[in-house]
Amino acid sequence: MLKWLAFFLAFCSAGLSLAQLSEVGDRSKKLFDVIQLYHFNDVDLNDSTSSFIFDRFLEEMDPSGMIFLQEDITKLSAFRYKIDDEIKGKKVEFFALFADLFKERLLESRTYHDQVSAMKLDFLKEESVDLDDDAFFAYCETKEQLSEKWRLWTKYSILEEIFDYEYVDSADSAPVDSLLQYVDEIRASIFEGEEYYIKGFLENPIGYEAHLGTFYLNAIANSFDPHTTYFSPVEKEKFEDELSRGNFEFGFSLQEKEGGKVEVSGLIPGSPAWNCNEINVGDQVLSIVLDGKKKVDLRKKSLEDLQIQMYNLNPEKVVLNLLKQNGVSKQVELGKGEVYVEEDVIKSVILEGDQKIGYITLPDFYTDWDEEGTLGCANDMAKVIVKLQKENIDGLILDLRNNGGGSLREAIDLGGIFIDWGPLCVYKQRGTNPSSIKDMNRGSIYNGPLVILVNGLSASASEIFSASMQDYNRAVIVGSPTYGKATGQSIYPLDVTTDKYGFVKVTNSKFYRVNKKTHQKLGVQPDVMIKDVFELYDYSESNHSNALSNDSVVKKLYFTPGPAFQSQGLTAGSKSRLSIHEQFQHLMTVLDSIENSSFGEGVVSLHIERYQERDRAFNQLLGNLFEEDSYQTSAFQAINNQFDQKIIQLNEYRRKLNEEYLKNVQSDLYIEESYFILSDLIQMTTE
Amino acid sequence: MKTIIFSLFFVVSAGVYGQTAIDYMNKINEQSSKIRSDFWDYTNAVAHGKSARKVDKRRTELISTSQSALRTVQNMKAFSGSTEYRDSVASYLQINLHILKEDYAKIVDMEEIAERSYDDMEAYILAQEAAKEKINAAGDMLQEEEKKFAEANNVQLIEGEETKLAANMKKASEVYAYYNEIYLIFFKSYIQEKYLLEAIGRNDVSAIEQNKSALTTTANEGLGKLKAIKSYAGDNTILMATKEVLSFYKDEAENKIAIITDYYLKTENFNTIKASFDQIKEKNRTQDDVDKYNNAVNEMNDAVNKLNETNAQLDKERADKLEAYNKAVAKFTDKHVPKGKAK
Repeated sequence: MLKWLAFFLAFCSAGLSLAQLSEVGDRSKKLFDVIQLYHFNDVDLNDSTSSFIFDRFLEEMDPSGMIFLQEDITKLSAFRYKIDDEIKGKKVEFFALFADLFKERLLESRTYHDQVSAMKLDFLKEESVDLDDDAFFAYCETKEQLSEKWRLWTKYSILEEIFDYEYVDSADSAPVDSLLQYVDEIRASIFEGEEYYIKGFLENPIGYEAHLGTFYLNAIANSFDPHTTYFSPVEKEKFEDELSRGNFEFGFSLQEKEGGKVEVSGLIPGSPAWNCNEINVGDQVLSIVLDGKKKVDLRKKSLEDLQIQMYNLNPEKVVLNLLKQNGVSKQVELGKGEVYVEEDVIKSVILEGDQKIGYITLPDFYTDWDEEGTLGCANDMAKVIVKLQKENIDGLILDLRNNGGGSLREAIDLGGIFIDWGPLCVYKQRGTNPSSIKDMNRGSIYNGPLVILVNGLSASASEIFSASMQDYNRAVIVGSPTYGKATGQSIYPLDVTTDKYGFVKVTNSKFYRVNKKTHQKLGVQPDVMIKDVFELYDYSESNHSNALSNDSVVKKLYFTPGPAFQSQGLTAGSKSRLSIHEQFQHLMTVLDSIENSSFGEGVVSLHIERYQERDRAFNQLLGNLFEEDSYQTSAFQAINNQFDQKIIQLNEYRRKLNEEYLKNVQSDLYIEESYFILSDLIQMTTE
Repeated sequence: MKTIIFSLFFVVSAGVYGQTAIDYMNKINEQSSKIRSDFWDYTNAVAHGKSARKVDKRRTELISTSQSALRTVQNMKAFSGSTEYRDSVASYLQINLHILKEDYAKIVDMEEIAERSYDDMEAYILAQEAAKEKINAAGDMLQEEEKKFAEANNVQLIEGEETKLAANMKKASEVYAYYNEIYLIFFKSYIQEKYLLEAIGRNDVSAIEQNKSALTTTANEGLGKLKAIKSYAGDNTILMATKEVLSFYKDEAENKIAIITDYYLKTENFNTIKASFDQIKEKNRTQDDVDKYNNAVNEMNDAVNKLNETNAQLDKERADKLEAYNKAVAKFTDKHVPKGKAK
């Protein structure tokens, strides 16, 4: 008894909750069992998965070596190849050690914050950090080294805040002295954020170990593939309790992920957020400025805080500071109170030039997830196409750039609009025979020439749709290679009798094209390639080392592709046009400069003037890249169809929105080139 | 010399040594003769408008007879060590039984059928066609084995006179072949219209427009095919009735459905315009705003009236044409398929 008590006290002194620890052990086993049961691959735990989990967990908790010391890592490394056994045996020796060390170092980091807060930071000193140097991010040997690292890191973060996150307007042209006055408040705000992070762990309502456990469990889930993830009951609750249209009328919903990261989780079709065409599901929201007055920094405040502020202020306007999935930051302003009608949400115009071309943007394959059998975007698309057909269009461009997916059913139904009938993809679940997913409606609505415009952010359902249209020779795919996700996930509880252990989203299926290959990891390769700004970023499925493999499927499939078009001829035409297109060549030069530049990497000076110079040069490049209204094509005039014209006449908001939309279409080089490619295709078909 | 009537209108005669072989063949033929007789009763019930209960009773009898025939053949011993002839008959009877029970999965590759077909109905038709090919192949095989058996056992096969039953069956089969060809043409458009009407019921514009285009195709293709078909023994009633139905579908798809789709588009537009108009405070509305709104109301009312008129007209015409078609079909088979029981 005494022995047992001593053991208990030993744990108490370390300040860890035994009950919570054993719960994590329990869940890790349950989690693995569920994944093993449902995962597409025949998965098991071994030394290699153990090592992956070790690295993944560490990377998630301390990616830049700002918390742990090298000695901690040495201690933890004893478990590098033992986590598999721990999970199978419901043991938590590794996790307990990690939790113990992490807690100790988290508390210690407050000391570094205090030290750095108390010192005078000299922004005129010639010193730098090397963002490419692994040594900078490596774990420090001593506390002194770590304290110094915090000093450098704080300076870098302040400069980043001033210049990159636009804490100060036009910082790159402001006198340096005027900027230095913000240092103290930014520093305070940075440490406020750090404190928010620490408290998020130490004072978490579900308990420290349980909260840290969700990261551990997620690292385990992630070890099987990038899309298999764990989420705790709390997170599930948050997921269901999203900001929705009922709360605010901006039309976006947010979700707080583990660790406090806030992401856009949905857009309401037709809402201001939808109409602005600049927000996508999965974008991280760094901060929101309400009515130009109150800024809620979501790296320091919770979603609940935002909700309270929104409720109190009831803002008419918000500015969202977003971090797109490929790492680009973006500011988007939204106004509230504008009328929108849910059934009329897809934007389209007619490009009138030598040819009359319909142009449609679809940012998301939306559907009503709550109600089965209701009509989603495919039906809305059909209506838009019928409207465009009434204008006697010669061809159609469907813009799926940045469309990250959504409902597969809607993507299949959209395919049905363009083909008679037949299989559009093959679905394979573990342990079952592959089955084809078919267009359920015989007949088509639009048979004319079609271009589908894609980029690296076109993912999932967009890819399944584009791939099928490519296999049927139904459309010319234009743009840059798509993301490369051809897997499906389902959510299962860890325990079917209760929700309290949380849930796991498991990759349980794969999708194949009708040519029996898959776009998994490869993406859909456009027939006519045009380099895109997103190619600068390594954002694709193939970047994940444990992404599911690219293979093929054996399945009887019968479909009748249309006659092949001369993609070589179309590519040659496009290349020759773009080679003499002044704006496009300028854009390519800018892209090359950015690609070859060292912005965001390498040695960064922490001298404010040097940093400002670097930022100025970068902004100039970016300015060239995103220069608004810099170009208006003369190839066509973007005009509204007759139905839309009537609506616009009576609605000021729609009129403004429409003007903006027409201007954007008119200045988009990729739409212009798609117009030319489609014109060539029409010409070839006629010949 | 003994002779027997054989399954495919053959008569056998045998030399001295063929006597037991003839007995063997007779036993087999007995089975096929029972099946033929039941099959005729079933056909007769279908062709002359007997009640569904009666038709089903005949079908059950036919299945039961086929099953016992199959068992009998399967239980027969080898003849002088040879089983090929017996097995080919058993195989034929087995396939025939699967067809009668519509158990197609046992004889054709249903995955292939499913992948090749658009819906269950098409899969059913394709499966029937595939099964027909199977049974024809089994029939050829049976004939071949039968010849070999006869030759090996010194039995001479000679063509005999057609019985009345055989003649009736031949005639019925001819009438049904003619009718089936036309029915398939009719059915393709009929089912397509059914899907179209279901889509209208769901307000699903995408499905409406797709099915509309499919109906245009099937109706036009069907009308083209009908032109190439001649009347049956001077009777063109079924041909004309089918043409009438298809012409209705063609007109519906090409001219009337657009009015229905237009109604959905105009409703959507009107709702948006109304929401915009409602948002302008009454005191701020200009005469122009009011005029535009009133125009939208008028357009909407116009669309509603057109929709109602079109629907009423379509409903009436559809009912009339289908009734005429059904009557024509019933009359046609009743007139041309011979009457009378098999025994």
